[in-house]
Amino acid sequence: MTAAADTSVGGTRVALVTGGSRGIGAALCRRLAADGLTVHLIYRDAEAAAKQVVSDIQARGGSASAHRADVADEHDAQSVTDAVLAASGGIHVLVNNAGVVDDRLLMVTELARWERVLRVNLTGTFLMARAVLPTMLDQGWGRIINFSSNSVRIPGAGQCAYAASKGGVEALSRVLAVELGRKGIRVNTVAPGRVRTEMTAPVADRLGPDDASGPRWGTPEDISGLVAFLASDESDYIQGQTITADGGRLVMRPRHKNGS
Amino acid sequence: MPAQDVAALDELVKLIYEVKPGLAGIQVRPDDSLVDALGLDSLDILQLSRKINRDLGSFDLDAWSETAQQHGRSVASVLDAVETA
Repeated sequence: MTAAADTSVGGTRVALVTGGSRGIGAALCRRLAADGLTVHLIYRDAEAAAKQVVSDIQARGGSASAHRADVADEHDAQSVTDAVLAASGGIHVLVNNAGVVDDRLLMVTELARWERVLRVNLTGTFLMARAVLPTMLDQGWGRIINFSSNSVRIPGAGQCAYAASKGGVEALSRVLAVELGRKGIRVNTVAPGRVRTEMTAPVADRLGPDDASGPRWGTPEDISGLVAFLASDESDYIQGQTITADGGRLVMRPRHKNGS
Repeated sequence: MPAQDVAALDELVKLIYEVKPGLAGIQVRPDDSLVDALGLDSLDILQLSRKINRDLGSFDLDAWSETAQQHGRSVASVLDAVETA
């Protein structure tokens, strides 16, 4: 690893985490704050949960703020970025964690529902990356960590919008890596398997229980350590990759009729 | 070229080198095109414009880009477009 330039603001790096009020996002915020970053989390609806995350971080001596914004809205994406810059003077890490699930079979997927999933999961990722880019260019250092899913490679029935949106996120990440890599900005994607959160609760039955002979359900903390690494100087040599964190579910999936 | 203009050119060239380190050691002339001669792409030019606004003076990238056909994106055209305080 090459020596890292000090690109921080007053010795502290600043992280912006979308969908940071609950589930994986909340765990990410807590972990990044514990690692010494100033954390700005974005929530859309869950104000109480967002405030709780901020309160938890501050109680442990960390620095955090919550901002209400819809990442799928161009104006909101820019406004919240401007607000974070005004408050902290920089943005070093962007975690595009916000996402929605609206699973239904293709024939009963209304256009508006399809477009909403694409808008939040894919367009939101694009809008936030574009909004932080000038700042990361100025700093000559940045980490953009996007969120995909195992559903891109092993989709379930009914996941046309969700899997397509996440496939788009992976492609977008690779393009950004090509465009931005020479500017000191790293863009990588995390693809979690089944992780117990409020978002996955409605589909938990379909995804099945913990299996003694296979991988367990993950926890948000199973993901936050990987993101913390990708947000750090240590990940400087990793660029444009999608890293699956699923306890082995993808590689251990049954390939034969007898389940072996 | 007046000394003041030479100093401004030197400052701009320093910023160009920061944006594209591979150009270091290559002489940059006022009539060089940022794109065709020096190989800056749109991301480089965005980065350069932000550095100019920070270090040299007000530079309207959109207005400069709109008149690209006239000035050919030359280094001199950037200096002409910078409004110093």
